Amino acid sequence: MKLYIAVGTAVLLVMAIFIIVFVAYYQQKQIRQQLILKEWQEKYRKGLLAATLQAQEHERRRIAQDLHDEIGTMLSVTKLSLNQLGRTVEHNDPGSTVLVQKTRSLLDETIANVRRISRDLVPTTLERFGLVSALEELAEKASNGEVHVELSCSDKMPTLLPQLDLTLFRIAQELINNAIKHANAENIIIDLHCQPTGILLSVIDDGRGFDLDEILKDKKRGLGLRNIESRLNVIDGHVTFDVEEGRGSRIHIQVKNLKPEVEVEVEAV
Amino acid sequence: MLERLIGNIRDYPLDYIGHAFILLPVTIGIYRRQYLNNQLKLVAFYFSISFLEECIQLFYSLNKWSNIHLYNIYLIIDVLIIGLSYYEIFENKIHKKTIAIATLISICVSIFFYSHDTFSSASNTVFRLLCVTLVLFYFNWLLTQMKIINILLHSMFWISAGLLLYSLGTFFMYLFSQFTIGVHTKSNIFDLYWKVKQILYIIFCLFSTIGFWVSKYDKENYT
Repeated sequence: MKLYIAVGTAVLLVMAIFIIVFVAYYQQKQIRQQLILKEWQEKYRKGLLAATLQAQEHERRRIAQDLHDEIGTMLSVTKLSLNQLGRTVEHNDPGSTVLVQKTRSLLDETIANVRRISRDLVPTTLERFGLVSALEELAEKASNGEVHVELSCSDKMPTLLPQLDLTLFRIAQELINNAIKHANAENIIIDLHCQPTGILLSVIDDGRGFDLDEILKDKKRGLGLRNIESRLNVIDGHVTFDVEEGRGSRIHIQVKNLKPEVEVEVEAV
Repeated sequence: MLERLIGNIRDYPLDYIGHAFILLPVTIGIYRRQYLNNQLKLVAFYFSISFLEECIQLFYSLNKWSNIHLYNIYLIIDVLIIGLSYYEIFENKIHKKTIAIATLISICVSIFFYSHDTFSSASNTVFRLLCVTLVLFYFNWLLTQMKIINILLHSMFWISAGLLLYSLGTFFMYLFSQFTIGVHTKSNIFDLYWKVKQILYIIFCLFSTIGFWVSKYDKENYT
């Protein structure tokens, strides 16, 4: 009997050791696989997001091109025809001259609008002269009698990857748009700085602010903010919202400079 | 009394080493107190109570008073604390209910088979059975949940592993206690099994110490 007890105890101990080793080994193996799967899923999601954004840019470019090449041209031709018609009408029916002039001014306005939309869709300045120039142009365009937009940036800005340039530009565009449209801001500062850790873009305004949690809770609202997060997700960027209802907002974007190349001297505004 | 204590230490050193080893998880538990969650606090409490129980039993034995009844009473307290600590781990109501029922049954059995002058074989066996069930239940939960990133840095895994070794290693010893540690057992056989029990308890203490030591990684160790 004593021998049986000893053998039984030994067997149970071996069993206990086996269970412990099995649990540790199996759990580690499974969790490793799960983590790899998660990593792949995350990569896939990022890839999908990047492809979506790229497709969006392609579509913008196509629409801009169509607007410029087809509608723009057609409008110009229409204007020429109208001018000819105007000259004919001037001699035969002087009473219709006012109507022709009114149509011409409407046509001019439409042509200007088509050009503006086309330019807004594809930031050509960004592609030709880089982020700082594009932001300068953006600030200039957004400024009017009621709103003052100012750009402040480091003296030396490194040349960024085109994808990074575009992301930062689109985010700045969205934030300025939000500040003017929703926060009724009068003064907006775009702050662009190069840090050892990466690029820091801040958009500071003196508007009425907003409740971030409330906006993010509502799926119908906050699309722009979600879009910013999605864009940053693709390039491993980070956004900090220093916002509150009733006071100006401070939104900081931090991205890693993936490929610092040539340094370009720019004039600080 | 001091001479008797020294004599006992000389004759049964392993008993006193085992006794001292209980202080190891208690000390590390206190050292890592800010990282302890409810279940770990209960395990630390279990070791503190165990140390206190051993001290009282030692005091009784040095005075040549029988301490077997104390051993049987403490078993009920141990069942309660171990059951509670595993109860705290689970959030699922069914899991909680199962553990509560198993613990309650064990307490009822321990009270029913309580003996004043002999080792209660049934109570001890049921206690070990409860521990094995709880540990296997917990391991099963660990494998189905898959939430722990590194199991070797998970405190409850180490504590459960130690408890499983101790419970399964001493299961037959208590199931057939009349042959191993009973009143009529030969002293050499008694000594052998008692030493095995002490060694396994030391292993349990060491595993629990590792568990308390790694408790600071617990919060970040979840997926």
